[in-house]
Amino acid sequence: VNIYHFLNLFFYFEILVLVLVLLFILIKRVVYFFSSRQELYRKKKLSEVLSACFLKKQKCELIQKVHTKKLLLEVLEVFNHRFSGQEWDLLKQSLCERFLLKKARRFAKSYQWTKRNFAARVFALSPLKQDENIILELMEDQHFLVASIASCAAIKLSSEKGIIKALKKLSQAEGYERFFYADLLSQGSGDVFYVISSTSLKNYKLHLAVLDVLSLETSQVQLKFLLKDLKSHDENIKIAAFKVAFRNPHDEWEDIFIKDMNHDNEIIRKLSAECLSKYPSKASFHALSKGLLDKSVSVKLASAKSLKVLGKSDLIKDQSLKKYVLEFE
Amino acid sequence: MTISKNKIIIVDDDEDLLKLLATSFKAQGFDVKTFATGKEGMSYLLIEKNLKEASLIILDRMLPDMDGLDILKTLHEKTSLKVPVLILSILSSEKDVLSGLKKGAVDYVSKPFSLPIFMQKALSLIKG
Repeated sequence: VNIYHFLNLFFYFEILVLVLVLLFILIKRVVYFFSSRQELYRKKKLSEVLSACFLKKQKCELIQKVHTKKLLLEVLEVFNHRFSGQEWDLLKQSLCERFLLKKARRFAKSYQWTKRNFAARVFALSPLKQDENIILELMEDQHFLVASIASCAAIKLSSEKGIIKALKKLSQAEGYERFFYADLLSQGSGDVFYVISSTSLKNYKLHLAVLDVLSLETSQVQLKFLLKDLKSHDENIKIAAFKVAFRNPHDEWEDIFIKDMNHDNEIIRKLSAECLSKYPSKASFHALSKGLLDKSVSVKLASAKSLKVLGKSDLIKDQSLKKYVLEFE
Repeated sequence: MTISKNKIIIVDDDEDLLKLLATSFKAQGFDVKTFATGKEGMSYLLIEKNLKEASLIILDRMLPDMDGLDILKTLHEKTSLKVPVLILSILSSEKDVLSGLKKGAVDYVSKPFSLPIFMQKALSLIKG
């Protein structure tokens, strides 16, 4: 009887626990529903106040009444995707200094990565020279969502140490991370390009990373070191340098591309043909015409495309290739 | 009867931006009509009277239901569009800008943009 009693009690206890768990989930969902609605409302209200403040129809002091730091950061980020220009930058900077930067400096040393992420986001929004060291520290964070955003802040600040750190990260990264850093660096200002092109290229991986970044955008600075790379015996360096040269053509490099139309490596021959599309000279037309007879289809196609770009498609004798280039490329 | 060309039509799904642009243009004395979807905007613009009243059309590209360039294309096909069209979009590659200009937009402004410069561009386009 006692055992039966005990089991019965246990059964009731189990049901009670189950009901309590269900009740807890229900309450949590209701609370979440209302709090998310409230957050949406507050975000909307804050956006309105910020818009009015931006249009100088309202004083920015009112922001203090309707925000939490997290919400203000989110709304400022959304606005930052919409607007640029001096007026917006001044407003953003003043709001960050008044409401966010103090907390960000404190959060930068937190053991919680979400708080460090908050700090990095604030610095990315409005980076100041005085925060450079904190930003550089955050770039070393083990969380990609902290380190990557801190890198954005360093690039915006045109911090030399930050740019070199980002380059090192690029040279070590794989997959998405590599793409992220290359894209970030390529979108930097003229100062960023200056630092990249004057970075010491003794480290092989760093050297390739620099060329990788420079190949993504037309450089705003002279690339004097590229001549050596274009003539390099290392094929990886040579290929990367050719990609940079394609975006940054220079008169003195034409002979190199003409010569490399006979290179053993098919990729180098293809890139040479592509680079020659920037040189409307007899020597270039001749080299590209020879390229049309190359054993590699990709070299033939690149030569044909370059001749088309140079307005010399009449030199393409293969009718199917000519038709393809003229109609589809 | 003369039609007053004082209306600016903006099609963009960013509600806050719509309000902000509407406020800015209203402050300059314009009547502003805003739409958050391409379908709504297009059906409004395909009415000849509405199009005649417009002095400027501002289109976003990544609308929830269509590309702003499709609205522009339809307007060119179905109406004799003479109103300047300005594209305001986050798509900012060379290819995107060129496709916008090729489809008949008079200018292509990439987001993020400077509001004072944008307003000046818009006002210059309206003055013709």
